[in-house]
Amino acid sequence: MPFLPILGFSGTDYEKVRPDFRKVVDPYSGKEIFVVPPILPDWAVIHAIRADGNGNVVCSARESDRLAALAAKRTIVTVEEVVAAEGLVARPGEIFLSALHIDLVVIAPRGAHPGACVNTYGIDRAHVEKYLAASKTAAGFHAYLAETVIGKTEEAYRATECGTTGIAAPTGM
Amino acid sequence: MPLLLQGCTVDEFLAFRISGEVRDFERTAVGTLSPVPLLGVLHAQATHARNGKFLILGSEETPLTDGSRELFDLAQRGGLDLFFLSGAQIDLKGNLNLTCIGPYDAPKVRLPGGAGSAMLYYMTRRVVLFTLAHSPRIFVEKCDFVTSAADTPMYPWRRGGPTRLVTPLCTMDYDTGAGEWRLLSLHPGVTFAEAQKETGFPLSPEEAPVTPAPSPEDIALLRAQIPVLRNSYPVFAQTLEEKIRSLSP
Repeated sequence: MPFLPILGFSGTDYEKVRPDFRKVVDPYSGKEIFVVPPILPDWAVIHAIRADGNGNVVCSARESDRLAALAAKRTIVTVEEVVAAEGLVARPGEIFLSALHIDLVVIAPRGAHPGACVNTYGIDRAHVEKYLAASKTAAGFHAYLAETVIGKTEEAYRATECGTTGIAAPTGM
Repeated sequence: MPLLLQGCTVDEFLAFRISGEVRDFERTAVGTLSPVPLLGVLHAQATHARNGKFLILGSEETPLTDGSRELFDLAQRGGLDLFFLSGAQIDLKGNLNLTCIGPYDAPKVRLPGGAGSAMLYYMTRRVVLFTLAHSPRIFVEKCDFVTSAADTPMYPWRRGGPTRLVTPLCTMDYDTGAGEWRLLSLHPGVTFAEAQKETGFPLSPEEAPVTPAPSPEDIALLRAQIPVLRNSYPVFAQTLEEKIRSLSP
């Protein structure tokens, strides 16, 4: 699609600062309507819940992850686990995404940490708070990276940072 | 603030007032960063709006696929009756600023942005605005940046807009004729002069009734909703419980 008509937006200041938000005449009503160009990401990188051996996945239905995968030129999906094809079912809060839209699947258990993964684990609040405090300054951010990320293997990160926290009740946030 | 409340917190008082805006048999949605509207909506659901449909962030009751897209589609096709919005600035004309304080090119504060508000404010039948503070910094004569406008022609791209504004000092009513806020009620203990002092645009009329306070039964019902509130807003729910515990008996 070259552009999409959108409702609302009249009388706002978006027109002054977003030259890509334009108006065309609706050929049906004869009234002006705002249109926006498509967002065309080169890459989408999303974390999903499970994949099958064919590269189909089930991801969160609550966020716009699936939409991002469908919009991007290329898509990488990290997943918690790989299951047999007959086990690739979408539970409430989850949605199917075909391998047709995916270029690469990476097995990365706890890959959303410290964020949440639908029906799997919640947000690691303590870790997010630690990150927010550290990232207020460049020095703090680098210290955070040095402590938790740089030079660490996935296994080491999981062992020291994920622990057992956050596995409890999934939250919607 | 000189707000005088008996046996309930400000959050509960505001939630009770918001509950009164929820109607039965309608579709009501509660978005992000709206714990007080959610508490009000849960109270309404437990009392006078048992047949409504509620789309609540973080709830499994009526889940949506494709994130916000389904909510936005619902609103655009006319399926959303009530939504809640707030603003870093709200002006006399009902415009909202969620973009920046100061000039856009050199902002004093860069805000998170409007998300879907520049559509939801137009396409939802009724939008109730709420703020958790009331000061001349929030209520301004004119927004530094208009993220969502209130007073634009209805046909063909506007279905609804603001109806009420609920703040910690008062409630206001949106006069669609004049395209301006009118004072609707003052909370218990708040005088007109105090409300006017904290508002950066002229308030009128000077005579306004007192906002009704929740009964002990309503307060109990509001508190019974906290476990559900916690699913969407765990930190807010915990803080609210602490505020309730520290109320003088």
